[in-house]
Amino acid sequence: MLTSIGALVIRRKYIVLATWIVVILAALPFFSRADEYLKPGGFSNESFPSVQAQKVLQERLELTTLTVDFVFSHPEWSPFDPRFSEAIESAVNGLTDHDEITYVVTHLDDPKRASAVSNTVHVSAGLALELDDSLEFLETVTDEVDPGPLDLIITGGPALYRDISLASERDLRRGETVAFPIATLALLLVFGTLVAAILPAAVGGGGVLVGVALVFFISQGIDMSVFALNIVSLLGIGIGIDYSLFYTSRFQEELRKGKPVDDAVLGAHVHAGQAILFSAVTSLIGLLSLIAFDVMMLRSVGIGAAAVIFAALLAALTLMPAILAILGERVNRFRIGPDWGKRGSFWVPLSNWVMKRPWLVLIPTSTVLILLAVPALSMRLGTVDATILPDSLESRQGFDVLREEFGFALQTIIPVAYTFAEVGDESSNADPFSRANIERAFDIGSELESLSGVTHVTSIVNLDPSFGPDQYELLYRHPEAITDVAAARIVEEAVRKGAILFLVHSDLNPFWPETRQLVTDIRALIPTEGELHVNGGASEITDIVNALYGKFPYIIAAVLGVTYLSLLVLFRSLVLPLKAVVLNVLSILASYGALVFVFQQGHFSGILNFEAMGVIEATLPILLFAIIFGLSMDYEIFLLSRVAEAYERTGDNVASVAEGLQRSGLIITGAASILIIVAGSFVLADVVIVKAIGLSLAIAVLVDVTLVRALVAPAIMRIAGPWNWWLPGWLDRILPEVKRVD
Amino acid sequence: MSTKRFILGIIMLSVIAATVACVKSADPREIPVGALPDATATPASITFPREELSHDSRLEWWYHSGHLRSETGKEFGFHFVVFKADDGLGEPNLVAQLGILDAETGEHYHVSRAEAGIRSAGDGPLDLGIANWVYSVEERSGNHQFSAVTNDLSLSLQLEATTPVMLHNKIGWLTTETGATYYYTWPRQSAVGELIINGEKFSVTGSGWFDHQWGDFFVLGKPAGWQWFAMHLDDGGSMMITQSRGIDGKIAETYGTYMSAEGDVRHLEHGADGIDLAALGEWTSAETGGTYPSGWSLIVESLGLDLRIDPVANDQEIQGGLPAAATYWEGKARISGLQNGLSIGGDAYVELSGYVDPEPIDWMQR
Repeated sequence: MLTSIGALVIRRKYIVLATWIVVILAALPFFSRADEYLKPGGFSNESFPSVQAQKVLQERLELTTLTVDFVFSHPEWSPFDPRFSEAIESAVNGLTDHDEITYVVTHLDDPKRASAVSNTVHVSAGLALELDDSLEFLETVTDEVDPGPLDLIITGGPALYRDISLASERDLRRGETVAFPIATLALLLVFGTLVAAILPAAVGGGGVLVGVALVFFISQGIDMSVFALNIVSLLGIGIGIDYSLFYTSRFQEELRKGKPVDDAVLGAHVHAGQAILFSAVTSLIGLLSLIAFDVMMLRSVGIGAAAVIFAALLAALTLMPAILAILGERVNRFRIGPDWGKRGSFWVPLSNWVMKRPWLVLIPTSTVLILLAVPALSMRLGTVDATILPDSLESRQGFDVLREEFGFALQTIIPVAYTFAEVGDESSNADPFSRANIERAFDIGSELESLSGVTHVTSIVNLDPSFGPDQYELLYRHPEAITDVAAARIVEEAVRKGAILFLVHSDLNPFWPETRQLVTDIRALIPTEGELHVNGGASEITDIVNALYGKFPYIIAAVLGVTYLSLLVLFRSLVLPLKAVVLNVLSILASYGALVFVFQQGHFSGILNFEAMGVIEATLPILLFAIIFGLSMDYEIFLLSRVAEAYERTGDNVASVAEGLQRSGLIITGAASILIIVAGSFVLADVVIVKAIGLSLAIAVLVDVTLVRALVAPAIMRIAGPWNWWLPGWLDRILPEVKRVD
Repeated sequence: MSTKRFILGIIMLSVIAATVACVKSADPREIPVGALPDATATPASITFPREELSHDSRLEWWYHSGHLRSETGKEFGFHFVVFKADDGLGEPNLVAQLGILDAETGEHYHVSRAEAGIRSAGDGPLDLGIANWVYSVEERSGNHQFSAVTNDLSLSLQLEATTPVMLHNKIGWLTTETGATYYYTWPRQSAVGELIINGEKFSVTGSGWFDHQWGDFFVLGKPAGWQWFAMHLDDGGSMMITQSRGIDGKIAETYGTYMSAEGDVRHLEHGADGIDLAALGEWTSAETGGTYPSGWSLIVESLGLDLRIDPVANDQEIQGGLPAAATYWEGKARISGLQNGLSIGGDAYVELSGYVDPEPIDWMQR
C-alpha cells in the first residue's frame, strides 16, 4: 500500500503540494484560535466524590471553596487601627452587591485574618461561580476594589489560574523562540545542506500547524483542557521533525546509491515510510491510552496528540515525497556543514566495539539505567500549589504572604458535610440542634478526631473536649446568644437545617499521600443515620490520583501488549519486540528517576530556578509514560527496521546489528537532539510543571539515544544472536504479512 | 536474559505504581455511638505570680474598674478590660475596652482596640500590645498598669494592690452551665495616673478593683447573663456579689465574696448568708434597645448589710462592635445603707450582662 501511495504522490507531486499549501493556508487562522474552545483546568471530573461533595456543601451549607483573596497591608498602620479597617471596608464594600459573590470576610469578622507578624490583613470573597467563569469576573473585582492608602495584592483560585495560563503561554512562546533556531542548527549539522535542513522543519511545522488547527475543531465537540496545547505543540514539533528527518535522510541515502529521483523517493517512502507508519501507530497507542482516563487534561493530551501525530504522519507520507520529488538532487544544495555520508562515521567503530564486547557494554549500562531509575521508588504523588509559579507574579506573591503569615496550604483542612434531612424538611428531624442530631454529630466529631493524622476538628460539637451532648444541647438552646466569636462563627457558617459541617484539620501537607490516606479513612465512616460528604483539596487530589492510578497498571499492560503485537507483526520475531518494550520501560523509569531526583527532592533547584515540589504532580508520570513510550518506540523502530532490513539481505545477525546501528545512529541522534533541544528549552519555563515535563522528556530522550539505543539495544541483540529472529512456524503462518519492496 | 529483564521492568513499574499511587483502601465501618467527652479538668490551686499572667484557655480577661479623683476634685469612674479569646486554632484574639464616666456631667465615654495574636509590648512579665494600647502585669502580684490612648480619650494608670488577694468560691474556681473558670480579685488597688478627655488633662488618683478570670467556658447572652457588683465600702471592706441567669433566663445562683478591712475573706452563699438582691428600677438604652435594671437593694444578712446601690448615671452602656465583646452595661454606682444598724456608704462598679436581644442568626430566619 505504501508503494502505491508513494507512486501516486510522485506522479501527482504538484497537486499534492498545492493541496497541502491550501490546507496549511486554510488551517492557519484556526491554528491561532486553537485555544478558543479549550477549558481551563481539566484535572477533575463531575463523577468524582469530591465534586459531588462540593455540590452538597454549596447547596446545603452555602459553602464555596472558590475565593478571590485580597492581601491588604500598610507600612505603619496595624490591622485594627481604625484607619486600616475603614480603608478595607471602603475597598470591599461594593463587592457584596454582586450576585456572584456569596460572602466577604475581613479581619473584623474573623480576627485571625489579621497577621500576627506584620500589618497585613487577609480578606476573602467567596464566589458562586465555576472556575471557568470566574476569570472574567476577576477582572471586574480587580477594577472595583480600590485599596486607597493600603497596598493590595490579589490572589486566590481565579488569579492563580489566570497566571498559570498566562505563564504557560509565555513559557511556550519562549520555548519556541529558543528551540527553533537551535533545532534548525542541529538539522544543518545532521544534513549539512540548507535545503535538507529546512525541509523537516517546514514539513514538520506544517503537520503541527494542521494538527493544532484540528484541535480547534475537535475542542468544539469534546471538552479539552488548555493545558494540553503546550504539550501537544511540543510533541507535534518533535515528532513531526523526527518523521521528516528520517524520511529526508533516507532519500539522500537512496540518491547516494545512484538511484533516479523518483526511485529514490519511492525507496525512502517504502523503507522510511514504513518505519514512520509503525512508529506513529505505536506513538498513537501510547497517547490514545490517555483517553481511557477520567481526567479531561489527560484525555485532551491524548486526543490533541493523536491529531498532531496524524497530521505529522500525513505530512511525512504525502507532502514530504511530493517536495522531495520536486526538489530531487537540489535537496543537497547550499552545503554549509559536513557530509556525513562521505565521512567516516563515529557509529562504525562504536557498533564494532559493542559487537565485540556485548557483556562489557550491557552490564555497566544496564546498571546505570537501573541506578537512574532508583529515585523513582521514592516517588510521592500529589498535586502542586501556587509555588509552581514564579514569584514575580502577583498571585504567587499573595499566595506566599498567605502561606507564611497565615499558614495557608501548609496544613490541611478537609470539609466533611454531614447531611441528615432532605432539603426543605422543616420537621424537627432537620433541626441540627435537636438532641438526637447533636448526639449523632457528637459521635461523628469524636470519631473524626480519633483518626490518625487529625490534629483537631472544628464543628458545633467539637468546641470543648470536656463538653458532651448535654452541654452542647444547653449551649445551642439559644444559639444566637453565644458571644464567643469562634463558636458564633461556627453556628453562622458550619450548620444549616439538615446539615452540619465538620472541618477536619491535619498537620499533613494537603498534597501528601498520607493526607489521601486520611481522606480515604474519613470516607470509610458510615454514620448511623444520614450521609457524610468529603470535600476539599485533599479530597479532590485523592479522587484524581485514584482515577489516574486505578487504571494505570491496566493501561500500561494494554499499551505494552499492543505495542508488542504490532512490533511482532512488523519484525516477525518474538524476542525483538520484547526487548523493545523492556528497553522503553527502562527509559521511562530513568526519566521518572530524574523527575523525582530533581523536582521532588529539589536537586539542582538553584540552577534550574524552581522551588522543590516535594511531590510529583500526579498527571506527570502518566503523561511522560505516554509521550516517552511513543518517542522511544520511534527510535527503536528506526533502529530495528534498519537492522531487519540488513538481516533480510545478509542473514548475518552481528553484521546486520552493526549496520543497523551505523545507518540509524546519526538520524536517531539527530532527531533526538532536536527533541532534546525543544523539550530542554522548556527548562527556561516559569511554570514548574512545564519545566518538569521538558526536563524529564529531554533526559528520557537523552538516555534513550545514548545508553539504550546506542549501547544496550545492540549489545542485547548481539548476545541474543539468532534468537533475535525466532518465530515459531505456526505463528509465522498466522501473522499478517507486512511487505517491503526494494 | 531479556525475559528476566522484562519481568524486572514490570516489577519495578508495579512497585512504583503501588508505592506512589496506592493508598491503603479502608473498609467501610459504622461510627460507634455513645462517644464520651473528656473528663472535666480538676482545678489546680491558684498560685502567684504565675496566675497574673496569660493562660492557655478559651476565654480570659483582666478587668479593672474604679473611682478616680482629679487634683481639682473632679470625680470619674473608669473601667478598663482586656479580653483574650482563643479557640485553639492559631493565635488568640485580644480586645481591650476603656469606659470613663464623668461623674459630674454624667457623660460616659468608651473606646476599644483589638489585636490578633499576643504581641509583647515590653520587657515585663506580661506586656500586651493591643493596637497602640499597652497593658502590663508587673513583677509584684497585684500591680498593673495600662495606657489606653486615643485622640479623644486617654487613660494611663499605675495600680498597686493594697489588700490581700480574694479567691472566689473559696478556691478561686467556679463551674457554670457551659464550662468552668478560675476567678480571683485584688479588691483594692491604689490608682495614680493621667486622664485626658477631649484634650483636657487630669492628674488622677483613686481606688481600683481588679478581676482576673480564665477558663474553658462560654459566655452566653440574653436570656442568660448576670448582675455583678464590685463594692468598696467606707469601712474598708470590699465585697463582690454576682447573680447569674442560666440559659433559660432564670436565676441560676447568687453568691459573693467579702473581704473585711483586715483582709479576712468570706465566701457568701445565697441561702446560708441570706443574700437578697432586688432591682428598684430599669433603664432602656435608646441605642441598643436593651432594658437594664437600674438601682438595687442588696441585703446580706450574715454581714448585717442592708444596702442601696444607685448608678451615678443611667447611660453607661458599652457596645462591643469588635470581636469577643458583646454589649453590656458597666457603670459607676454609689452605695448607701446600714451595716448592723449603722450608716454605711461606698462606691461600686456594676456590670450587667445579657440584657440586649442578640442579632438573630441569618439562616435560621429563612
